[in-house]
Amino acid sequence: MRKYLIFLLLIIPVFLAAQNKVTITGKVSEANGNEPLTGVTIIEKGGTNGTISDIDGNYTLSNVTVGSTLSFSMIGFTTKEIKVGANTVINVLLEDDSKMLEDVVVIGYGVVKKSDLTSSITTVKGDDLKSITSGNALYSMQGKANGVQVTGSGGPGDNPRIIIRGVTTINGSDPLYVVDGVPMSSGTNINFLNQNDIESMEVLKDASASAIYGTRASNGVILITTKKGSKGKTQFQFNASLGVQTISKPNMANAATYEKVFKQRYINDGNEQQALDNWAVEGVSSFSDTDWWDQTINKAAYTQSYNLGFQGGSDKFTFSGSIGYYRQNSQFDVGYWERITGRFNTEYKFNDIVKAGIDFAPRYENWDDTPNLFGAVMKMDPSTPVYRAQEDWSVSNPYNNYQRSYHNQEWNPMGSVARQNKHSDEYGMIMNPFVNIEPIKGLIFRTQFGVNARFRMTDEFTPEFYIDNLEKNESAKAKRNSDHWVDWNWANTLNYTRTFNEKHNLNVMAGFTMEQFAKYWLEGSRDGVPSNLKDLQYVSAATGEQMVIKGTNEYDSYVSYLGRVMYNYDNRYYVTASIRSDGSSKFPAANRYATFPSASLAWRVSEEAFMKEQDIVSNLKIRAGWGRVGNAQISRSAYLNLISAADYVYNGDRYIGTAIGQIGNNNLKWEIVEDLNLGVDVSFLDNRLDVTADIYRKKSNDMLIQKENLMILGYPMWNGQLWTNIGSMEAKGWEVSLNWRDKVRDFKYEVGLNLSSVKNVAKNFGTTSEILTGGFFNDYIIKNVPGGEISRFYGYIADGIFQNQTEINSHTSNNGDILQPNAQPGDIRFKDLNNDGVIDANDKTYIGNAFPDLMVGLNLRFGYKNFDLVSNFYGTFGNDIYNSAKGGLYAGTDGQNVFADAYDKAWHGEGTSNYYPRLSYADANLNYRTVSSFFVEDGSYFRCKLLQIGYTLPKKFTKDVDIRLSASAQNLFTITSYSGMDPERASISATKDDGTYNVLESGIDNIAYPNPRTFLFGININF
Amino acid sequence: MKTTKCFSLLLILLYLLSGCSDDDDYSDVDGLPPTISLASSTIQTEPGREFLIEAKIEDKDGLRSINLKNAAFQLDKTIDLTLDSIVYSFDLSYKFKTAKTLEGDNFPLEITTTDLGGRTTTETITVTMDGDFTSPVFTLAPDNDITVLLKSETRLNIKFTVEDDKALSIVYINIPELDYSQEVTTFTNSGKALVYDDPLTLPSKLATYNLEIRAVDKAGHETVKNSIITVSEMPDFPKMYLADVATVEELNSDVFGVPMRIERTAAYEYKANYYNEKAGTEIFFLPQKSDFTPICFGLDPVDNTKLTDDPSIAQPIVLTQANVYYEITFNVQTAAYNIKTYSIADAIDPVPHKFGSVSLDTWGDGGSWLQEFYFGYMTSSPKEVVKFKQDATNPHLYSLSAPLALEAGEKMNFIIHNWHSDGWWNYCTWRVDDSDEPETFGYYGNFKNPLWTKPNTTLDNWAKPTVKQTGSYKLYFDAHLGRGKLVRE
Repeated sequence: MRKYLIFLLLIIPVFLAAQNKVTITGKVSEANGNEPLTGVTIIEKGGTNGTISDIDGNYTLSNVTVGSTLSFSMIGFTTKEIKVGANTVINVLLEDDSKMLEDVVVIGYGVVKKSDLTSSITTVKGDDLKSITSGNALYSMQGKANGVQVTGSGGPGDNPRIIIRGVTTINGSDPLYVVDGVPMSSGTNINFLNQNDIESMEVLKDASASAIYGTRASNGVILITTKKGSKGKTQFQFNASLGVQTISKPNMANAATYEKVFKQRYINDGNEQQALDNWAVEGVSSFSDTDWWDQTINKAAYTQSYNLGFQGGSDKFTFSGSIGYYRQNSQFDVGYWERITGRFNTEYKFNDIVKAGIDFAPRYENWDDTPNLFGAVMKMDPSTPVYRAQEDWSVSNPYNNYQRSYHNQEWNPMGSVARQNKHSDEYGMIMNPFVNIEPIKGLIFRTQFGVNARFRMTDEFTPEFYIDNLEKNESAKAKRNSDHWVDWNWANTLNYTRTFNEKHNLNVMAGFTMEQFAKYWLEGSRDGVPSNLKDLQYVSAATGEQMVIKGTNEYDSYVSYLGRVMYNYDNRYYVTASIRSDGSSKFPAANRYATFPSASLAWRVSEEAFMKEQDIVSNLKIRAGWGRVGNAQISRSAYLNLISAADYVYNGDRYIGTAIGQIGNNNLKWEIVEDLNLGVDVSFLDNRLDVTADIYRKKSNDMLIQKENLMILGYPMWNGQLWTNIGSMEAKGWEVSLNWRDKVRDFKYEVGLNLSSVKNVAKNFGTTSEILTGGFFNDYIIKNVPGGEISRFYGYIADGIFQNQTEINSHTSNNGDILQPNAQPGDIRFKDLNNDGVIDANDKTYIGNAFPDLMVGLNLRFGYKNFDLVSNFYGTFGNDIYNSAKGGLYAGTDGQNVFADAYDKAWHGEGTSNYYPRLSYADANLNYRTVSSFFVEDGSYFRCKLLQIGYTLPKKFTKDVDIRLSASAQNLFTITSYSGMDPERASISATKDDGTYNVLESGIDNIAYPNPRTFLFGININF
Repeated sequence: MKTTKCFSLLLILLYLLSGCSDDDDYSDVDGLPPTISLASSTIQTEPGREFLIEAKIEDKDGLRSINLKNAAFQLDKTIDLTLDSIVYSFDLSYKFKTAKTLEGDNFPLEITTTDLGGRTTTETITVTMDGDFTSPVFTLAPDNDITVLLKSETRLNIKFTVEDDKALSIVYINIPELDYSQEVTTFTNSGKALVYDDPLTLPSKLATYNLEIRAVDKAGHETVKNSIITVSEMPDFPKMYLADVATVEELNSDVFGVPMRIERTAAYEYKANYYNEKAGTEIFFLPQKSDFTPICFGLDPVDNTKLTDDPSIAQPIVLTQANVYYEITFNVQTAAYNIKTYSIADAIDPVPHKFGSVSLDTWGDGGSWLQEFYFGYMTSSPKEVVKFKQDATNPHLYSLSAPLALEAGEKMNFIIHNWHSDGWWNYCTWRVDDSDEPETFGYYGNFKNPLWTKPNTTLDNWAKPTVKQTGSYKLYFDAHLGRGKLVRE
């Protein structure tokens, strides 16, 4: 018996063990489509027993203890855990975790489930960020983030113009960028970010969302969240794309046509002899026929992008990282932008209470400035050869060998390209360590200290050369700029989340932040560099009298207290309220602090019992939000009186001295924007159709305007202006987004349509009755007045062309006063709008509007088996462009070159044209020098921003590796009636001194670098 | 029920539409066409002259439009009277200027008016081109003050030319003190011109006479020219001129600058600086501008070391060297004279920079911004300067490449000024001594050649001469001499 007992005791565990250990088999597939998933990690929790699914998604895991839990995990999919029971075959469907990501939205100092959002926030993430190859991630928002106007500028490294829900200030439209919780300084170009590193970009559009960023949120906030690691097998991704950019060549006149136009301008004015005299060039018997576009602008410019990324981790430690390279060449022989980025992100969970991590992102950028010579190339005289005759060449200075234009004052663009010599190197780093402490469940204290530091060195050399008295630089000059930016941000938040009685959901957050933005800069330049030799292109080599040495430090700093309460009852009734009190060094002591509150409400109607019985509407939420935000995009020293360096001249001698540089305002305070938003989110048919609609009104008060001082005070006119809080603007608009996604067998498709409209109205400019911008000869193109939309063109109405003398004689007042006494047949007839018998400033009216009535984004995504196709379209409708370059390109003003059809299109006899005036040298009727509707064109366009076809190689060939090949075209085609080079680029126009776009001066086309058409081939490898 | 509703809606819509349509229709008051009362059925004018079309136009229904039409005039003007409130009566007062090149004697100008009922009335005005609106013009006239030297036989040539654009009627020439009275009614050039040249012998005594010439055209327009003739011993002439032309016509064909004003250095003493472009130039000195008589200083044929004042015997001073500046000094009392030359290189002008070089210091700060330096003919702003062409041989000498087309009666208004991109003033500029009759150009600019020591002029006088004869003129300017001339091409 005893023996039996001993035997039993010995064998029972063996038996039990044999009974408890089983072999589990099964297949892991994608929940959405049932595609087999390769490389899924299957681990028996609490041990080391694990395996990976094979190419067909199948797996076998032996020695699994019955009752244990299996974990199925894979990057990009939601981890699933299944308890092992009697069944030894476990087939698993893994959900794409992008769906999960969609459900969580990053908000300021926290995250929230999308369903719990009470504000207007748009998210761009996932494939939308990757599909466009560009140096700036903001381009991937174009047409996808509704209400966000992204207008492209084509040059290497150029910054697009971003306007979120219209304009409420004359002081810039740039939003606040916050990268992983670190606010960037105003005017930041976020092209330093590798878009492969970005997990998501959230646009806080209304003040109820953005007020948590208080002082700097009036233009909206863009939160950029970079990729983080996650638990599971380490995944690698390699992406590469190579492309060529092209720019459409305008059809310019050859030398023969140019000559005809050149001479006809004089002949039409009755000066045939002058035509001959001015065409003749001493010592030149025959002219060239130079195609300056082909000479100067390359047919193809290359762009390339490579990125290697990885993510992984365990329960304790997660990590992600990447190394990326991007380069965009310009269309000229000089000019490029290059960027190498690294990013390494780690998080370590010490225990259930403490977690810490760091984001470390160094980068190196370098670029050669791209010359803007498109205008010069189009204007340059085609009868001039590129170089002088070889016998006249200078051996010592090749810059002298370019030929001066024979027939106009344009500088030789090839010479300009050769002399272009401005290079910048920038080294930057963002470090962002944090510690999370959760002493009791639901209460999280987070402290994060971010540093954003960068150093830029720019060297510019202007060589000595002599082509002509009017095209020369007598003394070579070297210049160096050294700029350091060091910004830091310390954010401390306490967040408490708890659900009471299962239905009361509460989230409370309180925080304290400190920030400083500092710039240290030095500039030195001197002329008289003895030679153009590369080795002498330094300031120290210069010996001349003209020298500039200047530099200073600039700071602005903020201290802020913030808080937010989010509460919902039973996931049906939502209330959110936030407040931020900001103190800023940009304002005088008395007005240094300001408070920015917000509140929003939402009702999830679809969660009500009465909605449960139907299956058409799967989600319905109504939102309302109000908030107050500020704008501090003004100079750091706007409230201070400043003394600046100034030179004085006595008896012809120069004396260095000082003068009043700025008049300060001790009462300066924040520019406040008040915002009201109403929205609705609806999903139909089992979430296949999502509709989001918003209407909003943003109104600024105390807008900062530089006001003229009284002349009696004796301040210099140009420095006597002082910033004052006297203005007001209003933006009203609506947005509707429709998104349909579905699957028919193997065919998946998604169609998104974004429609938005905003009207930007100036309400009050204080004592300033109008703000005129956009100089055009002795006039202005744009007139901004209180009560009217901003950036409207103001001029005369061109009412066709005088076909004969009778029409001129009949264009009179009722008393017979000839309205245009200098006109001849072929000249433009300007409308006597007020019918007072005189053409004067009273006949001017608004002749165009730079801002569109409607912005449209159309996003298509199709997938069929291994093929996928992505297409994005973006367009604006109802906006006008003042094509100021058109005048010269059809008139040959100052002897410039013209379009090939200029001679034929110009009026040359009765009935030949009712639009293009006659050619004239004197232009006595001021056809081309009067701000008129002749220059105004419909700037509406609809552009295919992206067309991409991808093919994922079958798994049977690639085993554990996913390989996708793609071919794309960016800016492939544009539907527009605009005659200029690029309606998109033209709609932005002017930049201010600090490089930001001047929203009050939009829509004037002066031939800037257009958005190129780009063809790319890409490969994505995941393993 | 639904059909009924739709039908009702349709009816309402039709009613509204028809209502709108009714608004456009006009209800007649008297149903009569408008009336046109012409101020005159004929208008007398001439080609290139503005005339006034006057009429009173009325309609009790209200006027819609008035059309003025004549194909030869290239006139087809419609006055729209529907822009504001209804107009029942309109006082037409419409000025119109015909082309100068218009050919023909008379033209029917139709005035058609339409009332709001669409009824029209047309009246025709006959416009004839036979009007005479211009007074006779003296294209050559005696100076205001004529000095005649007392001689054993004191002579004066009364010489003038008067012209009228249509026809002269009579010309009176009177010197009351001499009982000289002439009436001329016979004219040349189809009755449009009189060339008068009557040599008079004056009493050989010191005296003053008043010459009045009165020209009357056939329309009764008259022009009077008065001169004071003084018979005296050799006076100390306040002004003296250098004539480098051979004929009286050439002497009078300029707008200004011929003959060239020279400098009075002391009592009876004069100094002429003159740039001689070609060898063999013949010159005289004149105290009057329009004629070589009554006084003309030239070489005395008997004694070449002296000058004579007698135009009948004076021989020209011949300048034999080309491309040099001459300096001639003379005394009208002693008749002594002296001639010397100096080179172009030795001549100094006030111009501060090399013409055509990039040397103009835009901001006056030592040259932070330089621009091309040149100057020229300027009528409005330094941005609009018509660039001078610098003479290839003499850098002090400038001219306008393109001629100026000027019309008789036109009053000019210009200065010589540097071009400036920002419209800056007084950098390098000249003003004239007398706006109406400019004779010398004085430097007025802020910056000048340091070697130039002459004081700036303080007179801010723009040149405003009146053109006597229509034609094409060329402007020359010598910066060294401060002399300009505007002469027929």
